Amino acid sequence: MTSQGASDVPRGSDIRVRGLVKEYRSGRIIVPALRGIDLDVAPGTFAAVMGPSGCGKSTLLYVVGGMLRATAGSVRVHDLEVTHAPERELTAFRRGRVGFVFQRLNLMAALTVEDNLKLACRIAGRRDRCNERIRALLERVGLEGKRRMRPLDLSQGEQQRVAIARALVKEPSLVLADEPTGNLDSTNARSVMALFRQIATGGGPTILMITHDAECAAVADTIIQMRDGAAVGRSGVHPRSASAAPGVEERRA
Amino acid sequence: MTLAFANVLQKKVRSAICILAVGIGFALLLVVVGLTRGSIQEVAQRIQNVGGDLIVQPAGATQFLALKSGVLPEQYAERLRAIPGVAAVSPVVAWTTTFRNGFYVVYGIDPERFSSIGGGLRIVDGRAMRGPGEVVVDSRLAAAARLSVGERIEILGSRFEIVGVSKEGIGARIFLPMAELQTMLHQEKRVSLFFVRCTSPAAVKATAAAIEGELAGVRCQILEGLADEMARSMSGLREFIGAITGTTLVVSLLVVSLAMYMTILEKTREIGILRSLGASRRLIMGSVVLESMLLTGCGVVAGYALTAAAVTALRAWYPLLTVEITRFWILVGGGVGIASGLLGALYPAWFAARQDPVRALSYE
Repeated sequence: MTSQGASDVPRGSDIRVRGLVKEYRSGRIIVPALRGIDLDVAPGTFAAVMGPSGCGKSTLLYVVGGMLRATAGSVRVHDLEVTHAPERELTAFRRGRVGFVFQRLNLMAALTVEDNLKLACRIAGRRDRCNERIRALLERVGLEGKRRMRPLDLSQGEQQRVAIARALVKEPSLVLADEPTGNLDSTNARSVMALFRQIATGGGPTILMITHDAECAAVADTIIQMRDGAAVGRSGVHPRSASAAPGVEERRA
Repeated sequence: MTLAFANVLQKKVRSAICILAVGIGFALLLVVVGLTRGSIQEVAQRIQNVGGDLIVQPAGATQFLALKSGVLPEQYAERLRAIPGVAAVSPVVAWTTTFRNGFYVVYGIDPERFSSIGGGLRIVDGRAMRGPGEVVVDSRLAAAARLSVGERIEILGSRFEIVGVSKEGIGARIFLPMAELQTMLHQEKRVSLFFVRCTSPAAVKATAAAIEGELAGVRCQILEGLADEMARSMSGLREFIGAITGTTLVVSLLVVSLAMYMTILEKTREIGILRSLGASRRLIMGSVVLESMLLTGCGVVAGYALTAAAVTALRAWYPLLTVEITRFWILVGGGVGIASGLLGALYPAWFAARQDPVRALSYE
């Protein structure tokens, strides 16, 4: 098995999960979170992972993003074998290739909107045209007039749009979103999902999004159903555009 | 840098307390050391300003000249004057007194012989004493105690008239006629020490050796470098200053460490965010240490300001105290502050860098 540093990985996403097992230990008690998942996500796909609470969706996301170590199995993202990569390579992988969006917004409260994005640029080592990218992204998410405000001065919907902009500012090839609309009202949730749809259109990054909201999942190209730590089904792929109305034609894979 | 700076600004109360604590420790160090060294330096400087090259006193006597009375025969002055290399001799009776709640050194002198050693009393108001019942005070004491020529004051249980005010920084703060002080102390024809001026600077060492050879049981103190000699002779001074320095370091270190540890706990989720963004452990440690250094750096600056304020206040309230803040001790204080910031942040930084990113993200 070979593993490559993130900098060596060719652009264009590809997630390949085989027999992925993740167990949590609490003393002598072993709690299985993932029970041998197989999964493929093609480059540029917007994939939603659905399932009831506690079925292992977030665990899957964090293992794919190199934030959690798998107990067994294999996760390959691009050409990087995530499950066996050393810590330094995983850090470089997150730094260069992955953008995270969380349910709880998770912005740096002490920094302005602009500085939150600059921080991501700096950590990623992407200082080239950083200001240009930030300006363009804030315009894209409709927050160009609020770049000097601090996160706590923004609404939750606006904060989530900042978080999405932060995930995109380093131009990742993979965006991992954990319940990005979980804390939002329906209006803001629709706005955020429209933004994700827009991002996924036209050669954007691969998006793996955790959600338990069917309406949000319907915006994705493909829906992966999970239950009890296993993938139990997959809905069909739908070519969509950013302006496409919600409402999903689902086909069992 | 931006994040560390923003964190310092965001947690204003925490930052202010931390900066103040480091600043107070730093100021305490500088003021205590400054007072200790300043007092010694001032005493030594005053002795040196008399203008002599040597002090002759009993062997084994302290350099703190007021801590003795008349122990040497006054007629040694003639024997000293006859020794080759000696240009002038002035016998002095040194004693201490309390005056208006202050502790002062009193010199009993013969003004004429005292002047032969150096510039003499350098009277700035009035005249030198000519006979019994007259006293000269120095300008610093006159200003501090609001004394003026013509005023009558009580010294060692006797009434004296102030006949002159001398320039500060020469010998003692109070000067009495030597014969009168000898009588008051029941030490007639006895003196505490002799100031000796040599014929040339090159002759000082040889003259000192000649004096010690001629007069048994005396010791010559060369006045050049007297302050260092006095500091060395004070047993425990170095240990005292070391203890103050160490205490400042430890207190600052603990304050910084506690502040940073609490900050890390508060910012656990932000550490998770940084890890999700791809920040390495080294970067997170660096960020914590940088924040700590910013705090202690500000603390050092605050310490300079507090020191300046404390010195100004001390000079206003206690004009006779001398605080000497040297560049060396300013650097030592700054170094102690910065070292406390660095050492105090190490454990919190290590703790932050070891956080599990997923757990950190779900931290409430």
